[in-house]
Amino acid sequence: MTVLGKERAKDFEAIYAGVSGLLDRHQGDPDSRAFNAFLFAAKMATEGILSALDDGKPVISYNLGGIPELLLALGENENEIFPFAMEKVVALQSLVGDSNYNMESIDLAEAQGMSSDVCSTDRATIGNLSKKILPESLCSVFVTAPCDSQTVAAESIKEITAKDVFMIDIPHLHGEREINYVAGQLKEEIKFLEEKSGKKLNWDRLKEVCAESNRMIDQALEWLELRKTVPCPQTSKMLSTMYILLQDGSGTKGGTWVASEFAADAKERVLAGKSAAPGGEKIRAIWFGSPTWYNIGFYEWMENELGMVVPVDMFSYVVPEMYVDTSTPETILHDLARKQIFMPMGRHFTGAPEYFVDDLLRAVSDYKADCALFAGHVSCKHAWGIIGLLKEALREADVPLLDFEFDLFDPRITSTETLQEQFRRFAHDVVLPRLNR
Amino acid sequence: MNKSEILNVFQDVVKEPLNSYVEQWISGGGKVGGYYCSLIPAEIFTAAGMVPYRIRGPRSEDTALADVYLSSNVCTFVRHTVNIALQGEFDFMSGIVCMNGCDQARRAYEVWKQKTKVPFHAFLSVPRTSEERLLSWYKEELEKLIEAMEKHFSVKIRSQELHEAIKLHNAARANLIRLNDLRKRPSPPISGSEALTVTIAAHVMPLKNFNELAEVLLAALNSDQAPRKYRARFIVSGGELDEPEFLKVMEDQGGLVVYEDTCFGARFYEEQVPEEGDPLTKIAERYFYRVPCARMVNSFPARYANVEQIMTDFHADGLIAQRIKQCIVNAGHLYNFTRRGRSNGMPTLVLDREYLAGGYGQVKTRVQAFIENIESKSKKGAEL
Ligand code: SF4
Ligand code: SF4
Repeated sequence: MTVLGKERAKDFEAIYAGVSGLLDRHQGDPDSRAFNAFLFAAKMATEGILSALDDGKPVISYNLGGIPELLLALGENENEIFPFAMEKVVALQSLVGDSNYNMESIDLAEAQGMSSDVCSTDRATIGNLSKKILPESLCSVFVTAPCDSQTVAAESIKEITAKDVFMIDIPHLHGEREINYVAGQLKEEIKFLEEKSGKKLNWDRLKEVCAESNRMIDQALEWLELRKTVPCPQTSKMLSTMYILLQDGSGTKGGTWVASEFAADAKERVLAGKSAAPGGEKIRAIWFGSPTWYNIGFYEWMENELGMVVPVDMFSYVVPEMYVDTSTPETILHDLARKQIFMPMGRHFTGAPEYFVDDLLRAVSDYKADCALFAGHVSCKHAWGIIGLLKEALREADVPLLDFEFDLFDPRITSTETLQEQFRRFAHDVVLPRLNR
Repeated sequence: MNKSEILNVFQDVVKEPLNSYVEQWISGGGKVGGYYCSLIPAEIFTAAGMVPYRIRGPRSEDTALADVYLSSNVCTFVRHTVNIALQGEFDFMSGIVCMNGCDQARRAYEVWKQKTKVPFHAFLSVPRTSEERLLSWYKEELEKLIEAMEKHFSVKIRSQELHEAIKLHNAARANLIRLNDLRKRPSPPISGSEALTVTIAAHVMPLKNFNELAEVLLAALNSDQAPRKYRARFIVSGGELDEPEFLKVMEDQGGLVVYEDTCFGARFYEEQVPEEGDPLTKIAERYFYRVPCARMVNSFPARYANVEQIMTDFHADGLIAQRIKQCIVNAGHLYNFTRRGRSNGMPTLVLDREYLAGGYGQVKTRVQAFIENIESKSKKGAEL
């Protein structure tokens, strides 16, 4: 396969241009400090990958559920290998406001025979591979989480790229036995990576990479603590970036800096008594499920029009589980395995339904929320498969729930207007009357 | 009994959730264990003194009860089977075993567990790639299942019981392999829909009864040399497919289905468990390393190579790759089948369908067109 940094650099640079454009637009906006930090890091990461391609540096790709630490520690020196999270391109494309680009890729994958039942993240990634805009990798490391879509897409990606794949099997439950099972697989992954890349894993650097990941988690935890403040100080849309941050920023100075900017911005706003909802916070809601990436502005609409804020979501609720004990190689592998299992989506969409239901109920209580939102991406069959049990549990706990169906990257499934109408009704007919009682 | 009498018996067995053989078994004090996926070794139920029963949805017309728990976003196979369970029609089972076969079936497990009267439940976490490094985990999962069954049912599942179970299951598989081999003939004595009926019956009735019937059927089929007319021979591939009517629709258009590369088809019988050595290890290896299905990753090349071999062995003209709508694991393989078919010229028809939808209007049209396509290609080939 020919992939390309160079021949198709323009396509890839569409993201770069989008990120840069947004940055220019919001540069001077004090309300955009956290989001700008994220965009700035995305811009730097894009520059990094483009120049790696120009310099002919080896790239190893990983999929949505994956983590980069082992890849970052390959070789004697820093940056001998460039880890590349394939699906990040799709998310970034949406975050910079161009869902048409993703729709083109989705349509291309479907035209080639990929069913529309498969997650649009994966369809768009397969479309992107066909457009030859993703960097060619030496090999790939994939995990069988968070879902069937990711897993089968891995197989199709292998068919398209003809590159060797190391598959990490994520088991059903999330206990100690399962963590040790995954840790054992990480050892095998190291052998695979060393063989494919010709580079040895540098254990000292792995320790440093994990320490850097922990620094990012420290900052992210501080940020989440600040978001517990009533009113919530910072816009809900920041939560949707946590996935990319954990997946792509872990173990990097850039990631730590972004998380520290998130925290600093939240702190500044708490001290200034600012609220995410300009007209005043009326409803606190916990968002479980994927974000409306196709229209990230939807969160601002919720805040502006309904006074509804999301202090924590499913992506960010896993942050406390992301620490790695760096004492010994064994503790590192154990905790990386744990991190791998608990990554956003993986934690809540694999395994027993309690992982989803209990965490949601705990989040409602931890963040003093008034209601819950089940963001039902159409391809998240695992999530829809517990809707009845979830409704029963929330009814019993007396937590109002809005469940809605949409596609996280494709506005053609449920339009913003339709979602807005559902949210309006839920806020006005269900939640506010309860709160005003 | 002659061929059609035996086929009628098998047809009766597959048309209701509770068939007369299972009813008789239960009235004699026997227990039945339900399971969902081809990676759950049915031998373990047999070794526990139970009749293994692969869960399916015969006669189901509605999914309303299941929709409450699973939503309409889940595949119709899972919804129909859960619906039957919620109606209490599977209450004759003493237990069920599920696994992470796919995201949708694993959610079905919770509904069974929390909302039905079936008393025993167990879940296997089966690796999604059949690499040697993961075999020990799978075996450990089987050991845990055995332990749970021994405790719940107060039975012993030792090597001896497993060994006996292997012999019984191997005999059933041998019968099905012999039956399937007859389909290599230019004029097979059995149609695809009939053969699938027989294979499904083996999933849902006591194997001792099955083997007795199958042996009589094989004797009748062996001597059947009647010519059979058809326009093209197909392999049908995919995951769930326990609707002989679906194959009949294809065959009514002039196709002949000669092999089912599916869960209720060849995946059930295609390899034996060696009768020598530690029985649980041999069972684990057979299920783990068998020709992979779509839920196993890093597996497609092996699956496709197997399909190509079957195409040759069974003199097939084309491949019909089908799946139930919303089934994501099979969507991935269908995409890969399409790509391979485009590059190597293997006539490949991809079909999406609903479970138990009946009608099959679109299937008819597409199969007809597929047959015409194959015919025109072979005519062109002959003219060259
Ligand atoms: S959004 Fe849902 S379907 Fe898509 S990758 Fe995540 S878990 Fe899978
Ligand atoms: S048809 Fe597909 S989605 Fe449905 S149970 Fe089978 S594998 Fe799962």
